[in-house]
Amino acid sequence: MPGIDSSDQAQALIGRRDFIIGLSAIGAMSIWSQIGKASTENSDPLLNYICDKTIPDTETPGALAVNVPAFISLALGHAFCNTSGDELRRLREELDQAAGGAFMSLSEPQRFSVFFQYDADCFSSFESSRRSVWPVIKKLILMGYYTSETGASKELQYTFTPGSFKADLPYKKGDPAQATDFFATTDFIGY
Amino acid sequence: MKQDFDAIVVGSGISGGWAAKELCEKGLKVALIERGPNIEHRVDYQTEFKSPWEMPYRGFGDQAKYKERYPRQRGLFFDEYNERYWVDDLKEPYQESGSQGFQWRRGYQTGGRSLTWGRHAFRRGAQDFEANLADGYGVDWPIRYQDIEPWYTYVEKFIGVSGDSTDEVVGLPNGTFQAPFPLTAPELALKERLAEHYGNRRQAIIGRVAHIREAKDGRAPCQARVVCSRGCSYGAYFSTQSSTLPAAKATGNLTVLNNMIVEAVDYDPATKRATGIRVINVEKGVKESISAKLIFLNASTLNTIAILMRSVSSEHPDGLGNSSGTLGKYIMDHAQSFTIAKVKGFEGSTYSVNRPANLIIPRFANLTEPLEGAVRGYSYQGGVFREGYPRGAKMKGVGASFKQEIKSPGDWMLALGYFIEALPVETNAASLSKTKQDSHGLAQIDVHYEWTDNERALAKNAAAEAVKMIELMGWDVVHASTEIGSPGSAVHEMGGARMGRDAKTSVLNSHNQMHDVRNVFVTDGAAMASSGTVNPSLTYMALTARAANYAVEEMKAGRL
Repeated sequence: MPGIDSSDQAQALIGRRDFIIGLSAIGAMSIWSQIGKASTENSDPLLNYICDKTIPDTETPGALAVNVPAFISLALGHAFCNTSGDELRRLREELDQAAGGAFMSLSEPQRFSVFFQYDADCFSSFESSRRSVWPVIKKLILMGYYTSETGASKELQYTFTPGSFKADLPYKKGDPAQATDFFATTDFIGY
Repeated sequence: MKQDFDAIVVGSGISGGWAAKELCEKGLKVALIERGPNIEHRVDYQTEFKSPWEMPYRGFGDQAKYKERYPRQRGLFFDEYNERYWVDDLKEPYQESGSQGFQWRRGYQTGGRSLTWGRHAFRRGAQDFEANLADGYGVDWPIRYQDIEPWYTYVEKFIGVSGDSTDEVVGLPNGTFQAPFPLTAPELALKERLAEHYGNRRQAIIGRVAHIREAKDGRAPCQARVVCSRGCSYGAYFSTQSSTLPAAKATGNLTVLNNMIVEAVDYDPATKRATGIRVINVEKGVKESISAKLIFLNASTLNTIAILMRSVSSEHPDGLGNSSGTLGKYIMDHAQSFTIAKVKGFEGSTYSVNRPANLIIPRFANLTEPLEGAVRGYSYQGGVFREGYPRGAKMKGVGASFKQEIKSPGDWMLALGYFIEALPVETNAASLSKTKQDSHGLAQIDVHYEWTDNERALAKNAAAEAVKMIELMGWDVVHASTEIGSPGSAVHEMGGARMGRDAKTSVLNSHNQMHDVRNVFVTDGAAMASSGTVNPSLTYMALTARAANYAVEEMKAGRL
């Protein structure tokens, strides 16, 4: 089940993560220059932190490394998931409230501990998840990450031209999902 | 008088492409009129091979733009890859006056909605041609199943339909099939359990889809990508571009005229025949006339109705061929809702993407099993899948273990949509607005539609029966909806120029020919007298081929 990272594991990954961020920024520039919008430079340290902690670097780069914050800026500027553009302000308020002060001023591991509890509290009931802005931000993190080249093809499997549909294959826990699974990844209500 | 063409076909979508092919192959010089721009097979499928990270909005599209400019186009298969195959609602406005509105999804380009359709291709059963007579809603169909049967075979052989030829389902005749797509492990379990419990009264079968499994006519087999609505360079699913247009072009008899909006059909009171059409040439900004001996209207249901309503003359003051007063009335769409369940078991099994065919539970209500309190019936379409990454937004968890969890496919889920037959009702009608015009100076179409108590009763029954079947499996119902979506959202709008036996109560005869004007045929959805419980496109194709055959015979006999 999903749960807290061991801080040892997180520390071990930091050096590698910085290297990957540097590499991906080069690739990201060409992608994001196409739309002439968000870049990592103007992104929000809080958003960077949340993306990084939600989907961290593991064997594959995580959400910050593939520039999910830029995707979220784009998404919030274009009404994805019925957002109004005010969501990052609300996220900051909610996290500050959870921290009992300035969330970003906390030092680790307290800051992650607050974030972990904030996520758990949010999903503890239907009502609490409805009240919070976190589910929509989390959804955008997932959308951004798993539609990135890394998220889709390195973390998951990306098979664009399967050739045929195979109806019954053996499955063992840990085998990656297909990023191109249309029915499993499409939100039929809209984005 | 020398005519410009032997025949004019208005609209290049599913039925218009078929009309053009059949008439061309019978030697007629045909003008195929398309109101939008050309989309060239393969060449213009610009996004077909793109991955999400190569798209400006990751394939989701600019949601702010969609909310403003495409509010009625959004839905299944609408996304960033194919947004240009859908109309801009601001540029092409219409009116919707019912309590739930009327969602009108349109594709104004060569191929029309054949590019973006759902590709399910079923025959209607005998009961679907007899229902109006049996319960008194609508008028009796002037044809029976055996009249259309050879034409179903004819079109299936040409387009290629994947389906299971071992199926034996009451009310859902088999077609001429290429190999079926397989059912997954939970679907097979459902199939076996339904057979045990219900005998042959209720069955689970694989959907029948216009996807080829073996190469034919320059088309390659389906690659199971399910990126169909971007356009398919393999030509694996039926579209005008992949199938009927090449055949029509090969005759040397076809002229495609793009960017031409048909304003009206011209009528000569002396001969009581149509003489051609008046069009708005969008590129030149001028009006032109095109003459022909024979007119096929395939502009899609609501636009075909509007063309006829605009074709007024002293002999036809209420629209061409509307002496019955039924033009625009008795329109229908399938009423839809859905049930979602969590499948139990099968953790050690999965599938590999993507299957274009749905799981089908064909109609049983009032067919193999009586139903109190409602007439007609419904079918189910859906399937199972293992939940993907979007589930992560509904559960707690952050960090490496969360990432590891989401990497794997999640629980098996079952989705069952209901395709509920809608009754033909006089007040469900399209008309021309008296006050509002579109950007071309034509009166806007106004659609008024309300679901009836019968559709609501069927939705309740469909939900209850879905729950029973899910409980039979020991699976958990997550949500069993009885709420019917906006009319039009099934994108099966039909009726409005219905076929019938009597010129006093219908617009078309048994060959889709206007009772009032012998050389005008309507073979798109507008011709339908009842809606049935299956996707209608295959029926439009069969009716079109049948009508084209008849029209040419009549022309040769000098009766048109």
